[in-house]
Parts: sequence; structure tokens; C-alpha cells
Amino acid sequence: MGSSKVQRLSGMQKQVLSLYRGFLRAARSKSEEERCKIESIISQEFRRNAEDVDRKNFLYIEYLLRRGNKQLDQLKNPGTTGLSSLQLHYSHPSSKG
Amino acid sequence: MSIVFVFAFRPNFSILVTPNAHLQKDFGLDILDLEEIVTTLEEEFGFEIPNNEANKTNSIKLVVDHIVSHPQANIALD
Repeated sequence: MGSSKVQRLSGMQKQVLSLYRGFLRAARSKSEEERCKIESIISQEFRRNAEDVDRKNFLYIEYLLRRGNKQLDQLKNPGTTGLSSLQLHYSHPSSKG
Repeated sequence: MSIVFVFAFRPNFSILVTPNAHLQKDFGLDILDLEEIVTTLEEEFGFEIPNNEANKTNSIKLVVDHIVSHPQANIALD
């Protein structure tokens, strides 16, 4: 082991990494072109959430994990050839009065 | 034994790694980068790296040791 520091991860962090790797593995079963697209979309999505989501917002993270696992199940389906990302822009409704 | 990996796991982003390199300290990779390296190695050597092992991939030496010691790894040692 020497001086290598083992990264200590919480259970939730391990779930996130496991999900990320699941997507990368699933992408390998698609065509080369689709695989590149999938990996790019997945990487951006996980990094964006890593940046934007408060690490203590456990409820939201659990929601993202559940949604991600459903999406991964769909991606694992051989009938699913690709994956695309739709960018939605919306603003929070402002309170009036 | 000297093993040198060339990782080209993202367009226009590849790194040359020697066994003693520390991926996070020496190359500034984050933990998602490490996950991509692990899946790349899995594909290259034909077996899955367990999650608990994957969490220790900040040192490439540990990765090499794991691969070399795995009986099913597709390695031809000269």
C-alpha cells in the first residue's frame, strides 16, 4: 500500500460512482458513434450535478440516483440504440404581490 | 516489470502513465476520470474490476498489480 491514500467515500458517493460506471459499461455495447455521444452526455451530466447539487441535499441526490438507474436500465436494453440530451431552459415562477 | 499505459479515454485528452504515477496528484484527474480509466482497463483486459478495488485506483501501481494478479486478464507476459 505504501503512501497511497485510499479515497474514503460515503455510501451515497459509491452509489453515484457505481451508476456512472454502469453507464460507461452500457455505452460500450452501442455503436462506436453512439458510444461517443453517450459518454459525452453522461460525463457532462454527472459533472454538472457534481458542481451544482449541494452534497447535503440527500433527498434530491436520492431522486437523481433513482432516475439515473431507470435511465440506465433503458440504455441497457439492446433495442436502445442511442441517447440524447434535451436542454430545457426555464425560470422559477416569481412571487407576485 | 515496466508497464506503460497510454490513456486516450476522451477526445484530445490522453496521458502517458508510468507505474509510480499518482493519477490525482500528478495529473489532476478527478474521481469521475478515474471511473473512466477503470472501465477502459476493464475493456482492454477483458475482466471487471470490483467496485472496492476501483475506489483505490488513485495509484496506477495498484491498478497494475490488480491486473497482473488477475488469472483471467488478457495479458501475455514475455
